Amino acid sequence: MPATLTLAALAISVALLVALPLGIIAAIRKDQWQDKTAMIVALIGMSIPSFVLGPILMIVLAVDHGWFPVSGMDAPLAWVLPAVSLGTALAAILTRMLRSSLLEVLHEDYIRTARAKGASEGRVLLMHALRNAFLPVLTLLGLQLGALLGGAVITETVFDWPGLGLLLVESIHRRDYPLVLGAILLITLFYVSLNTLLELAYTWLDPRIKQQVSASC
Amino acid sequence: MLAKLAQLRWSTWIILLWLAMIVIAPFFSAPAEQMQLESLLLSPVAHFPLGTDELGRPLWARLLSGAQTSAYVALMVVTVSATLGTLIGMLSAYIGGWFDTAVRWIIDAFLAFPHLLLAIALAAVLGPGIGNLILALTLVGWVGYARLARGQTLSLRGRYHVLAAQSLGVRHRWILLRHIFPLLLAPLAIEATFGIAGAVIAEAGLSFLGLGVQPPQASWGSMIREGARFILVAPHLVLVPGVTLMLVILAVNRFGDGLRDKLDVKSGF
Repeated sequence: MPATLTLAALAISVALLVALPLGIIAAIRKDQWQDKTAMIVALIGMSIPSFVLGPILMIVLAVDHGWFPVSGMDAPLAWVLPAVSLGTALAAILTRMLRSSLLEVLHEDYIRTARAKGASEGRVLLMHALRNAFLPVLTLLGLQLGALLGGAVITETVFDWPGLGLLLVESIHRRDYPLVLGAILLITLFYVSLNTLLELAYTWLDPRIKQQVSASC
Repeated sequence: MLAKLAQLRWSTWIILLWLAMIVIAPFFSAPAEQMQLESLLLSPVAHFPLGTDELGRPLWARLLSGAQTSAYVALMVVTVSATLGTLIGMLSAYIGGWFDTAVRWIIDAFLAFPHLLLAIALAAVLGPGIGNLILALTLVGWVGYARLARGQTLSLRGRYHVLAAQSLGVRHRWILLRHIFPLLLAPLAIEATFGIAGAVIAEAGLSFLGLGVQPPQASWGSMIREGARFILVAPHLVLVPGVTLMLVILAVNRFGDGLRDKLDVKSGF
């Protein structure tokens, strides 16, 4: 069970690590080659299912070069390939969202104010724009968690990752239906509780929500 | 603009190629299931342009057959779930009251489960096979269209042209069909395009898990599943269906993006 959570957390980290710089660069260099490249990469990432990317990564990085172990989770770097193949789709979707929401935010009045008062471009981007642009990204992340957990089932099968997903698939093949139902309920419970946590994160990221709530009380 | 047209073009080409594969697939269904054990696991050679699989079946014929499977499943799933979802969503928003409350509850209950997971669960309970696969994906798929149609209808219901039609005594059926439905078409078409990509992925994913199409019938997902066992000896068994699958999904997604830009849905409503 913790194996699935570990895998999901690693995949989200990989996705954010890719999506943040890529989305920001695409937004600053809108319509230039950096933006176009990033968007093409994102479209490809969105379209490659984890059970295609997984075996390809396995062939190239594990079999041909031997940099990473092929499957399992005991070896020290075993998490890299599963996390990358699960996180790629999420990374692509988040990149697109971050780009479009950053582009929207950059037109706001408070960005002009920040620039007018002489804040450096980096400060405007990181402190003023990114914080606001991250809200829709967070919403999307919550929605995509379901796809991520569903994808985890497949990724675990590809890489023999001993988590809930692999247990689910094996119990389906053994026709052990109580175990199937249990595994699905447990994964759904993760999904719902992670989404609740995200909702709580909104108030921390956007204090305006808190004010609205206390004003309405 | 020219770049955009060019991009649209390659995706259209791949989609056309996919459709062409479906059309010619029936003529090559025999070799797709014919075992030739003397020529198993061959790499691509002149006689077998894409090589053969672990039972000596030519990969190109399996690929064609898999194209047929994926397109059949995607088409059925999207058609049925879009029709059903749109109908339920429109009625729910238009009628309102307890009916709407009930529909909203059902939609929320479905949305609480991760999409793919619910499909996996349904496929597991229903048992494997292509019919059950379509049933499972449709049962999961209608929710998205219902939510979209419901939301749009709610905002359209108060528009002046609908109110005018109502006060003129136009029948409700007619209002829904001629005054509300046409305005839903653009967002629904985009949703359905991405729905095709989603259904193709889901079909391949479930078949990959062994819950979808059963042997000897070919599906790209089950080809990858079977090929993964021979990944060290014959990586082309995974690469050929994998890359094909990726290209088709890529093309459909790109097509959906193009459609969204063209119809400009965000600002339209």
